[in-house]
Amino acid sequence: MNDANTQPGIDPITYEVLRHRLWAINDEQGLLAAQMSGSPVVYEAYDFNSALLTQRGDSLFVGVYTTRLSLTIDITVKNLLKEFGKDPGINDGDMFLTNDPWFGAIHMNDYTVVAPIYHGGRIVCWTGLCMHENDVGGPMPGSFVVGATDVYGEAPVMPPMKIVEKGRLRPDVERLFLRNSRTPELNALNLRARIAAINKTRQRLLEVIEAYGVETFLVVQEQIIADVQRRVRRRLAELPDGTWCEHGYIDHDGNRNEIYEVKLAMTKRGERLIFDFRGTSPQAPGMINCTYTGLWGGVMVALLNLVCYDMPWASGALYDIVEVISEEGTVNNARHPAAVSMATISAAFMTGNVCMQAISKMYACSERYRRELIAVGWPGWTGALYSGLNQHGRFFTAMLMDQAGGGGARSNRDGLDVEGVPGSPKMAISNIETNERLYPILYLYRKQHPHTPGAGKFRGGVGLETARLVHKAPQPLRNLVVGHAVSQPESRGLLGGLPASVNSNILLRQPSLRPGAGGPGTAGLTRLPGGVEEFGSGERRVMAAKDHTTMDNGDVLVTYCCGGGGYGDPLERDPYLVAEDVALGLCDRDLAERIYGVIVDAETCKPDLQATAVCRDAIRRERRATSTPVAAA
Amino acid sequence: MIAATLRGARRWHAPPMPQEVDERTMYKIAVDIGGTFTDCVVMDAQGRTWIAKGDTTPEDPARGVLEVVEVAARQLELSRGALLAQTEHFMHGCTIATNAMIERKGVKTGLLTTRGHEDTVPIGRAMVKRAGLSEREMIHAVAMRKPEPPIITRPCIMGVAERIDFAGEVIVPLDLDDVKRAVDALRAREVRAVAVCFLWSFINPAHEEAVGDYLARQHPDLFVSLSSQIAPVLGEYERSVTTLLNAYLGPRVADYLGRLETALRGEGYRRPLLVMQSNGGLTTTQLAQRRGVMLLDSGPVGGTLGSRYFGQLYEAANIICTDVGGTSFDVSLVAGGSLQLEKEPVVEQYTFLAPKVLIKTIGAGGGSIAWVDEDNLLHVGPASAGAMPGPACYGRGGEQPTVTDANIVLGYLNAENFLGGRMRLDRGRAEQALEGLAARLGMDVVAAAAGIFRITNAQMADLVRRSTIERGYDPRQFILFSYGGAGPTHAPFFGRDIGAHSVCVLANSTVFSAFGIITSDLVHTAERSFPTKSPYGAEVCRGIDGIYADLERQVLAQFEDEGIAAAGVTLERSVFMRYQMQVHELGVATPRQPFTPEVAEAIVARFHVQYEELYGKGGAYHEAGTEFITFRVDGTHEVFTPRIERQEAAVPADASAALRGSRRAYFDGEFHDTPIYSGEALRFGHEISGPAVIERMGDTIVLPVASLARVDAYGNLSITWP
Repeated sequence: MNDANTQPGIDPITYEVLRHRLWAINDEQGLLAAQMSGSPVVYEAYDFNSALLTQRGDSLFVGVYTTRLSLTIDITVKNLLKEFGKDPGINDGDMFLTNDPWFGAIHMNDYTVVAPIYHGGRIVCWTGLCMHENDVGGPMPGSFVVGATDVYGEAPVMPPMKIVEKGRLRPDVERLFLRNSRTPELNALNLRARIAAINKTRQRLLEVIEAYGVETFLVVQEQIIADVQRRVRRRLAELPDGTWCEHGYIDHDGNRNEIYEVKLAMTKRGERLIFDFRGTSPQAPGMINCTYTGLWGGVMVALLNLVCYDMPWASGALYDIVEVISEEGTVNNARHPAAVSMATISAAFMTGNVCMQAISKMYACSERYRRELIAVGWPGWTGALYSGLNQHGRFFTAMLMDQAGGGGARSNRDGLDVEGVPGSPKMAISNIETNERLYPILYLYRKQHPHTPGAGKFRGGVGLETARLVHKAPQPLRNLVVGHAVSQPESRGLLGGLPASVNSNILLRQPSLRPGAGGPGTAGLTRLPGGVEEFGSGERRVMAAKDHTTMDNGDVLVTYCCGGGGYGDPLERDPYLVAEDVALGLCDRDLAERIYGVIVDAETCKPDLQATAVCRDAIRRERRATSTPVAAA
Repeated sequence: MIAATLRGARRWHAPPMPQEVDERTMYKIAVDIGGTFTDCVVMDAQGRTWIAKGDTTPEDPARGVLEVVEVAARQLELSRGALLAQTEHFMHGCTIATNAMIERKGVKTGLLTTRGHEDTVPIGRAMVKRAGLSEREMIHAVAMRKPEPPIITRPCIMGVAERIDFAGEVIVPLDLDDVKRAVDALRAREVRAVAVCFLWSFINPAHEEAVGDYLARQHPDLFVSLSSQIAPVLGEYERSVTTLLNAYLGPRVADYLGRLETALRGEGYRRPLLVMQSNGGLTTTQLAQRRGVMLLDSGPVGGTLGSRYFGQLYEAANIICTDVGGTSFDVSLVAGGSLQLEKEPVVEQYTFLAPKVLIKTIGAGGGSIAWVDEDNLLHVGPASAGAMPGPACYGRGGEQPTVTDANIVLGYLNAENFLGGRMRLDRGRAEQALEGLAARLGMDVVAAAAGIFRITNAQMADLVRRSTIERGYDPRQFILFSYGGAGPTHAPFFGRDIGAHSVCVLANSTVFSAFGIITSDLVHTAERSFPTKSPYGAEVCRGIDGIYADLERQVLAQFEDEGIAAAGVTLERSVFMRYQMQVHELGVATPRQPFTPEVAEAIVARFHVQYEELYGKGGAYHEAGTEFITFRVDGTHEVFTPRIERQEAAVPADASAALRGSRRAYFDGEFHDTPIYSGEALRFGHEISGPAVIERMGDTIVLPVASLARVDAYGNLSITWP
């Protein structure tokens, strides 16, 4: 290309073209890897992510998949540059593999592959891909270790090693990686998917450099980060200064049903945001902790989703704007050798929730940004992990990702029903047929549950209720439950909106709906249950937040995913919206009357406005009679 | 730049001359329905073309089709009946399915599904909230919504007792009493169509077929769609949606095509009415009536096919295809000479399973209505005045100001000579319609009109950007093709804005989609799922051989129904396969020879190569083994391709012979005395500098200041901005 394009201060069209092209390259890198992967967790539930980073390791683009995952690839790259630059050295054609939570990963399942992109003998950018592996070893299939007290009792930690050295796959490192897993073929396929996607990305980036010149390529990266930074600063300047406090609780540490608090005071001053987590509970003797990488990922997921919703996700732009204050040795900033196998869906997830809630409270104080707030949606995984032999006689371990709660309410409309995982827009739940093909389970039902959301002027979205029967398993399966928000609701409401239900798993042993079950593969069902109430006798066990058991053919696990938090006083909800929910089966009439004060006609499903006004007055009178004004308290 | 993009262009072969010309059946007719106009192209065996344009008649689109054929027949000095009796292929592109979907005017539909799974469609795999959104839109989580309104609500979804497992084994037998109860309840809700989608029906369709039999016997008036017939593939959500869409839209498609085919037959046409599908191929009415979902979003495909055809003539592999009609603006790409297919097409946030040419659309066209919001900001579209009442200047009772009204006020359109004089535009009514809007904006009428023009161009530029730049394509390496009646008025502006290499305005711009349909082939496909894991032994291979033989017979039988002998059909075999454990499949071509273990081995070797070509070196994991999933046979009958007359020698650049006078038109903030040229008088080699207006029979080209238009050997205009 001509000289003009090799100067800094490139023309706006070239800038726009390259900005979008790099963005598209990163999106496509993620999609490619997903297509090649063998895990439904990856190709259907999109539990993976991709990132492009600058030569210094600043995040340039983060994919829209499970955002928490790629938000810490920058930490891995920066640590590599700092600690590995001289010895063993970083060379053209190298790729590093690691799952070390004290180096940049969040928990051991999430193996990251990062690679420097070289041009003319120097690094011009980095790229990385992180995927959730079904099993990376350790005492429990699936590698979430209920009962571990520290990381030595969990899956092996692999500090960065060169899985590809100067373009050549290292069989020794690959064997180390695969030897420690119960699902080596699957992990091998996923590893190749990442390597191939990174190779493709390298090729595309080199094409860009070829066409536009390396200086332009470098300048564009800096300009992208500067642009995003300018826009975030402007947004913050438009918001009122103040401090907003929030907390969340993690129930059960894998050993004891204790409550751990994540505490946040978020201060916004001018164009800066300070996240102060001091006062958070000390690290737990169990799987729920996360390291600083999980804490950083949680803060970033909230900022990108709620603040950067109309700009590229260049989290590198936020380093100078955001300050995180946290004490080492706490549940979301745990020291080695804390147990961390559940970090992503526990302390890191909770950190994201409290940050989102604090930002939403800040938005509630701004006329302009109120429409951008959102109450906490599905606050945490209900985690059901099965392992054993599948119907084809092959060993499997499956994190069933077809769980999804309701979305949090907005300030102007209801939360989305079965929204999925907040902050990971692309995530989807698997088709039932996909899961039944791979695993010895049969879904009796998967439906929306009307009692799950938080009420409000705008309600949260409803969550799922699922019943899975063990079916055609050659021998009993192991079942592991790793959830939180089981003992207490964590989808908090906002500004008078009510909290949602809790997550829950109920185990039904040989429920009476399956009479005549004569062993594996026998079709004994004569009726199909439409809900948990339709099961008859049989042992019923409400599982703890972290729990494990074995399940035989004919056993059923019923899983409830809670809904989203509500917004505003339920008594202000439009009676017609309440009646519509009743008609659609998303609210029952009793609930409509007790919580919303709306009387809905059983026949026509229309609200009785007069009776509603009377009912709402009565509820208000009762509130006045039983409440104490804040000033008097 | 263009020469550099030559590689990868689709192999171009000279149009074959028909072997025998049957005197009585020598014409081909393509009719394409747009939002405002219905276009017709007639071509004879020598490749000579006649074009005609008529109004779209939304209340009965078939009437508009017959009317436009009548107009065309007059040009050939034939009666409509005589033309139709001498027509070999009548090809048709319609928007019936798309319109019914967008306007939610499908029939009321019920869905029967496995008990306990009634919420599958409402849940939408928790991804319905973002289906169809770009990555750029997806990052705004707070703004995401589910489809509003949904095409089905929970009360019309009924579960029935039945269950089949992954192996096809019946776990709970179908309870026909339950089916009866459910169907009676749906009838009480006055559904006209029923979709049936049970779990695992693509492995064992017995339960769905039993319900199908019951419905055919007891409720023959209901339109029935079974998932095992419409989309026999794994994944109950997408399969349900596809089946549901087919039931929802099918009766509208079937009614319409049935009526049109009957009408054509009544006038002497003897062959099946061929219908354009969204995959870029034609099918018969009989098949389209059962598979209406295949017509979804097929409207703009004709233009894409025509663009590819001209791209081959120009040896240009990269084309941005832009179509501006009365109601919508469509953008598609030809990149590296190929059509871009969408893997998981999405319509109104519903993901379905039918291969479809990738086209992006917004509601912006000549009929788009301009309006002012509560903050007194000017907006254009997406609402449209359509064909009836149409823009205010049509004088058909439209009162709201539209883009066309703005264009006439700005002096771009000729009130006396619109559509070659077929229609007169009323400038007074246009001004009147703009007055209220201008007053609210605190502007005069001209400034408001200029605002509408600018906003419209910017919206179009944004969509082109989303289709190119945001997918990593550099528009500077593309030629922007402009067609559709309102396209050439705007394309020179938004084409320059997005930095396209040049803008090409086609000689037959206004009927270009119909022209594109004529370049299409007749395509029939048959496929069958038969998952088979490696190693592939002799017995398995014999089975596969039998499947291919069956599929080929099916395809040939379809052609035979259309009177096309096996000799005129090119058959191609392929297999969709993958590494074991993966889900994403690759299509691999398969030789037409007995399927043996050696052939299987060669296919696997080709698969490894293709896989690495697609995903890069190091991606293949041979140890995983492979799996054949779906076997497929494509049959193509090359419908004779047109030859475009090429002018031999260029004339001098001076175009004053085509100058017809001047009028005041608005450029860069003021009215200029602007030269007006007659497009029909322009010849190869003529050059015109902007500002200028070129009036043609069906459209008007507006050249901005400092642009240059040159007429090429095909009569198309190439516009550049030095």
